[in-house]
Amino acid sequence: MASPSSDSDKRGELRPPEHIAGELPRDALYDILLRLPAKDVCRLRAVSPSWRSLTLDPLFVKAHAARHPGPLLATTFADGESRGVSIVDLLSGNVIKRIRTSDPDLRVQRTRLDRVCLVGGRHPLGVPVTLLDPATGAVISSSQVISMKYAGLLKTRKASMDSCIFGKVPSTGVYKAFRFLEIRPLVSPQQLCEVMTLNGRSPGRWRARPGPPGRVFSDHTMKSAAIDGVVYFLMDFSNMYQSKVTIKPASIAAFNLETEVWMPPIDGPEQVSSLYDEEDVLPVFEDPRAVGILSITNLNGSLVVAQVHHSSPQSMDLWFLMDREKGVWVKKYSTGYYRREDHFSYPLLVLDDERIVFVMQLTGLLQVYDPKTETYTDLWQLEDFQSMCIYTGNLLSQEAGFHR
Amino acid sequence: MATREAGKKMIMLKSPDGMEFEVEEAVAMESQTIRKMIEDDCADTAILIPNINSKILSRVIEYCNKHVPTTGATGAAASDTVAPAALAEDLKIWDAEFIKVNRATRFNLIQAASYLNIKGLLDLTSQTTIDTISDNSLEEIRSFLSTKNDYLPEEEQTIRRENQWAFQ
Repeated sequence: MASPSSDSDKRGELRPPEHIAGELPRDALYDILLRLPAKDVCRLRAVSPSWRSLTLDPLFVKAHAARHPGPLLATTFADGESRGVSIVDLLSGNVIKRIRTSDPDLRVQRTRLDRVCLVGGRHPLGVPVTLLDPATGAVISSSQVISMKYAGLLKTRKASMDSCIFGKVPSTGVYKAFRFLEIRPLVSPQQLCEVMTLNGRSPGRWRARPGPPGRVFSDHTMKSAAIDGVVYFLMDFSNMYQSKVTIKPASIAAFNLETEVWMPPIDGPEQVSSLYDEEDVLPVFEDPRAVGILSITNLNGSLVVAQVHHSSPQSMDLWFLMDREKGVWVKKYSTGYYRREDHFSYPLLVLDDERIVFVMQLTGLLQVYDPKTETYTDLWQLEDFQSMCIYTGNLLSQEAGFHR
Repeated sequence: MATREAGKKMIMLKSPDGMEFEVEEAVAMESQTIRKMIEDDCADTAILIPNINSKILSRVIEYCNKHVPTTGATGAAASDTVAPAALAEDLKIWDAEFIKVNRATRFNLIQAASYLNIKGLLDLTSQTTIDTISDNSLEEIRSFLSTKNDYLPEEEQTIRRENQWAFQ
C-alpha cells in the first residue's frame, strides 16, 4: 500500500502533476491549445486572461508554429465590395485569415518574409508601397511618388515603376523596398533605381541610388529574388541594350539593402553560362528553345537559378548557390520531365519531403512536383498569379515590429 | 515479483488510493514518463503514480495493453498474421469505444495521458475537447471547461476586437 509521502527523493515515485481542481490541468490545456488552428487560438484569448497570457507567451507561439508548419501563402482577394489580403494554407488552399485593405487595387509582391508587401496597380508610380503585418493587421505605407533626385524628370517624361521588391535587413530587422523606374523617353541607358526604408517611425521616402553594374532584367518577377537583405536580379546578357560592359551569361547582380550599394555580380553556374557562350548569343526571350529559359528564385532562403531546357535531355534544372565567395552552385533537382507549361513554371518552395511547389505564370495554378515519382499534382488556383508571396510569419505573434 | 511469462519483465504500478497493477514492462513503457524512469534506472519494480486514481489508471493500462506493439498471448507478433491496415482499423474501432466516457473521466484521462506522456492516448482524449472548443461559443467553452472569466466586460470587448478575425 502506498501513501503520499513528503520524501521527494523516494525511489519509485513520480512528483505529483500540477493540478487545478475542476479544471483541465494546465499542461493538458497547453497541449490542446497547441493542437488548435491559429484562428481558434486567437478566439480563445477572450476566454480568460490566463488563456490569453498563455497563448501570447513567445514559447507557446513558437511551439504552435512548429506544430503547424504551414507553409502559408499570402494573396489578394475580392469578395463583393470587400478587398484585401488572405493568408492561405499553401497545400490545402484553405483560407486562414483575411485582412481587409482600404486600397482596392493592391498586389502582393513576391517575397518570402514575415510581412506582406503590397503595391498598387500595374504601373504604380504614385501608389503607396505598403508593408502589412498579417498577425496584427498593422500597416505602414508611403505615398511619396518619387525621389527628390528624379522628381524633375516627371516634368518632361513619363515614369512608371518597373518592379518593386522587398527585403529585410537581417542585422537590423528593417524592411526596405527597392524599385526600378522606367522613364520614357529614356534619359540614359543606365537603369534608375530607388530605395525606401519602411520602419513606421517616419514616412518612407524614396531615395535615388546608383544603377546596377550592368543591365538587369528589371520588369520580370521571374528574374529577381530577395534573400537575407540582398536583392538579386538576373543580368541581361543579350546585346539588346548595347551595354558598355560585357555581361557573362547567367550572371546575377546583387544589391545590398543594408549598405544600399551594388555588390560584385555573381557568376551563374558554369554549366549554365557555358551554354550561352556560342557565337550568336540570343536574347533569352527570343528563342528559348535554343538555349533554355532562365529565372532566379528564393527557394527556402537559397538563391536558385532555374533553367528550362528544351533541347535533349528536356528538363528543368534547379541550381542552388551553396557558397557565394567561391561561386559554388549545385544542381539539386532536375525535374527531368518536359511539359509545355514549363516555360511559365516558377519554383516557389521546397517542402520538407523534398517535393517542390511551382506556380504557373498566367494561369496561377499551384502545382507540386514529386522528384521521387516525377509527377506533378495540382494544388489549387490563384486568382492573380502576380499577387502572391510565401508568408513566413506567425499569426499568433503580437510582437509588433512596428507600431500601429 | 511475479513473472507471467518467461522473458517478460513485470512492473508494479500503484495508484494513490492503494491499488496495485502488475503490468508488463513493455506496456508500462508506452508511457514516456515511466520509460524514462526505467531507462534512467530510477524505478524499482514498483512505481507510485500520484494523482491518478485506480479507476483512471486501470483504463490507462487497458489502453496501453491494447496499443503496445506486437502483443499476443502466444508471444508472436499479431501483425504477422493480420494485415497492418486491418489491425489499424481494429484499433480505431477499439479507440472509439474506449473514449465513450463522461466528461470528468475524459479530463482525468487527458491529465493522465499528459502527465504520463502517452502520445496516442493524449491524441485520442484531446480530440473530443478540441472538437468541443472549435464548435462552441466562448460561454459554452468556459462552462464546459469550468474556466472562470476573469475579464471585466470592457476588457473582454477589447480582446475580442483585437482578435476580431477569429470571430468571423
